[in-house]
Amino acid sequence: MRRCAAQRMRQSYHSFFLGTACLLWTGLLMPALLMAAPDITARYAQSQGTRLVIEINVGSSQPASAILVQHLPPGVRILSSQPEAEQYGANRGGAKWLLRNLRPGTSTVSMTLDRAVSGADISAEIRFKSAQGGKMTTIQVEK
Amino acid sequence: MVRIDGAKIRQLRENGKLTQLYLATVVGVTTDTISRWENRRYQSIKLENAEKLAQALEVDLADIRKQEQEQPEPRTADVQPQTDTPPPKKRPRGIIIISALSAAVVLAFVLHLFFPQQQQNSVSAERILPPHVFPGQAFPVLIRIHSAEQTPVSLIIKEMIPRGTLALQGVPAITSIDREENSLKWIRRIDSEESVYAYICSVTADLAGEDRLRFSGSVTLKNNAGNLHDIKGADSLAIAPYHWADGNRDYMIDDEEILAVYDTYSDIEELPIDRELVDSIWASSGYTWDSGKKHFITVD
Repeated sequence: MRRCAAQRMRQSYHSFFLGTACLLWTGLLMPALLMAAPDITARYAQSQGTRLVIEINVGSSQPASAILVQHLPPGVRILSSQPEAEQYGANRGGAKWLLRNLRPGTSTVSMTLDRAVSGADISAEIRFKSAQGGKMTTIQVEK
Repeated sequence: MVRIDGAKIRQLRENGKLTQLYLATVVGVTTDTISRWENRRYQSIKLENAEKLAQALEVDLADIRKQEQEQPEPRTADVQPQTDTPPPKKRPRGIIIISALSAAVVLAFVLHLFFPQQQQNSVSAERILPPHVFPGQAFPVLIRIHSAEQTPVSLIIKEMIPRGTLALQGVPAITSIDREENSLKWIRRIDSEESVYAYICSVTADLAGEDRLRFSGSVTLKNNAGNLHDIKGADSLAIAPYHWADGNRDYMIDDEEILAVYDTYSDIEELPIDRELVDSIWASSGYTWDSGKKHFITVD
């Protein structure tokens, strides 16, 4: 009987600390994790050949605007793009798009090149001012 | 009183992966007391505590008693009879904390009754200005209104603009402009927590000797004429030969600067801030001033 009572007391003791740990997790860590969720993510839907397609996902706490920067090997030209690139020069090694009036959801940017490229030779990033705090943020477009 | 084997107690506790805190909680003493028992500073303890201790360790009482003695010892110089069970301090401390909190709540309530602050903080306004502007150019001015009023409220926004400037188009439309007083007004009814009032301000060329343009303004709730709220935030900008969006004055509009333009003015797309020029400067290698055309042009 003594051992049963002691066991019950030990269980309630452990439950108390477990409950406190859960409360701390919910109250402190979860908001931090939620705040750390990215405003924007992007990935290549097509990252090689003569056509590149980038999918951009905008979260609910989206910034008002963002800039997509596509880096290309020297001499590779963009024949056409949708939407039109705003800043481009083959000798600059890439192109930029200004994405205005962002809304939550997914959009795409596609471009046709004058020669095939491999995924290893290209990269892209998205720059924006974070909706929380306005800090300039850069994320890589995933392949 | 019961003589206990402190080393045995420690061994049993460690074998059972128990903490001193756990034993202290079960027996109803402090962890310091448990430590003293284990370190043999108190070699005799109350029978009641010894029984609880054995129960917590899940052993019989005999297992924690000193082997050579099976009956309580009379008091000796080594025995500390009176301090092995100091009363827990939790309850008095808890009462003090609860009492302090209750007093704070009552005090806050009384202060709220006698010194209400609701009216002073019901509406606030902040002005946003670019850092600089070149004479002859136009620039945007933003006034953000925050209202804590629970119901729609009518208010008057009065903005005093510097001499040598003209208020052009406003969004929403400016109710009245007084060119002699150099002021403009909006009289509006707001029903949302946040609202934005903006206008384009144009700088005339004849501002010799001036190096800054100064603004001031106020917001008045229409049903409370005595309650004036100054417009906070930026109240001046420099006169300098740079585009107003070129924050770091390097004759370029870089990524961060153009994002700042769109983030700041995205709520008022109707405001004619010449986004085309801003976009083209960003897309090009920079800009310069064309003294013949009297405006900025891009440099490729």
